[in-house]
Amino acid sequence: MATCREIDALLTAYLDGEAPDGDRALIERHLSSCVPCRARRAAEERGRQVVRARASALVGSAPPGLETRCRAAAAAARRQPGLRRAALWLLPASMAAVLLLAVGGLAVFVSLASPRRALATQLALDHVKCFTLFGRDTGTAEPRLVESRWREQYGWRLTVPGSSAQEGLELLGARRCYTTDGQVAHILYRHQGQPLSLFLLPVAGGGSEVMTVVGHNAVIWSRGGRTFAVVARDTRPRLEQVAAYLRRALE
Amino acid sequence: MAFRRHPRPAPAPDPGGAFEAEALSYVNRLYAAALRLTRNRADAEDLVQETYLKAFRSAGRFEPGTNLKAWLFTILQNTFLNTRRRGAREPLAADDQLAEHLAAETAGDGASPEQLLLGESLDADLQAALDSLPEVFRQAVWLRDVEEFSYAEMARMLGIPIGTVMSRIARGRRLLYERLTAKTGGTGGTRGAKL
Repeated sequence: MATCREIDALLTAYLDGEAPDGDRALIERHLSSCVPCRARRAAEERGRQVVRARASALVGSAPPGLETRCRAAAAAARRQPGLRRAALWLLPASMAAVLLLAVGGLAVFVSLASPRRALATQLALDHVKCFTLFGRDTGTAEPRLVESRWREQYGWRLTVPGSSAQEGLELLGARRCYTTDGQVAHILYRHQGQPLSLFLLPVAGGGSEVMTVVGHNAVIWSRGGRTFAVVARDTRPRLEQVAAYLRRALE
Repeated sequence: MAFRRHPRPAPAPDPGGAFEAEALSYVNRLYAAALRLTRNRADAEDLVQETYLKAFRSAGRFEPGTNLKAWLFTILQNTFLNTRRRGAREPLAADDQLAEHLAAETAGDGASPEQLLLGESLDADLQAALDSLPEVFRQAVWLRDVEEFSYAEMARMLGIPIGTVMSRIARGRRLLYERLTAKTGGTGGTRGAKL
C-alpha cells in the first residue's frame, strides 16, 4: 500500500499526464480514500492550470528596441567584433541603444521600422513615469539655478528654457533620466496646467518630426549634435507652438 | 598535422540565417523569463542582451537539430547566476508606487503608457503571486508551465536531479495557488493545504 509521501512524489508527473499506467492506477486508488492527498492534488492542479491558461499573457512582449539591439548583437558577433563594439554590449541596455545611434549604427536600424518612433515611445513612457513620481508637488523653478545645479552635479552645460506666461509654460525642474539612458536630460514643465517634458539627448540625426505615440504627441528635432524632444498630451498644433518657443529658447 | 589541445567544432552551417532568425524569435520569452528572475526591467533587458551576445558568439557550439530554445534558456540561466555573483544593480525604486499611480491615470486610445508599463496584462495578481515565490519554485513553475520544457531538459538546464525538478514544480504550483487564493480573499478560513 502506498504512503502519502510516495504518492506525493508521483503527483506532478500524474498531473502532467506523464505517469505510467501502473502509477496512475495506484495514485487514483490512494486518492479515492485520502482527503489530504486529494487536497494537495487539487492545489497543485489549480496552480498548474492557472499558469498554463495565462501563459501567453504572462510572456507578453519585450520592450521596444530590445529585439533591435539583440539583432545587432548577432551582426556584431558575426563580424568578429573589435574591442569598441564589444564594449558597447557591456554597457547597460538603455545606454547601448542611444550610443548605437551615435556611433553611426543607424545602418543597423535601416531595415527596421522607425527607430525615432521607438525613441519617442520610450520618452513618452519616461514622461509619464517621471511626472507620476516627481511632478506632482513641485513649484516653479529658476532656469539659471537649474542650470548651475545641473553643472555642479553632472558636469554638463545645459540650457534650460525658462517659464513663459505668454505660452502658459511653467518650469518645474530637471532630472537625469535613468530609464531611457543616463545621458538624457529631462526638463519638466507645466503647460497650461498639464505635464510637458523636454528631453535632451547627446545624439544627432534626423530632421524635424511630429508623431503620436501612446496617447501623447511628440515633436522631435536635431541640432548641433543633439536631439530634442517635446512630449505632452497636447494637441499637435498646441504642442508645435510651444515646441517652437522652446526651440528658439534653446538656440 | 598540427593538433589543437581542445579542438573547436566547426561553426554550424547557417543557410539563410535560420539559426539567427529562430534564436531571435525567442526574444519575448527570454525577456519574460529574465524579468521573472531579475524582477527589474532594466536588468532583464541587460540579461537578454548579454544572453544573445554569448549565444551568437558560441553559435558554433550549438548542435543543429537539438532544442535551441532550451540552449538559449540555459545560457540565460547561467548568465543570470554569473551576473548575480558579480553584484546586481539596484532595482528601479518605487515600482509598486508607480503601478498604483498609473492605474489611476486615464487610459488613452490604443495602448496607453500605463498598459505598456504594466506589460499590457490584466494578470497583475498572477504575476505578483509568481514574483512572490521563492526563486527556485518560481523558476520551476515558469520553465514547466509557461515554457513547457521537459523534466529532463530542466534537469540539464538547472544542473539538478530530475526528482528535484519535479519536487520544485509541485511546491511552486501549490504555493502559487495558496498565494492566489489568499490574495483574493476566499472564505477567510483555510489558506490551502498544508503539507
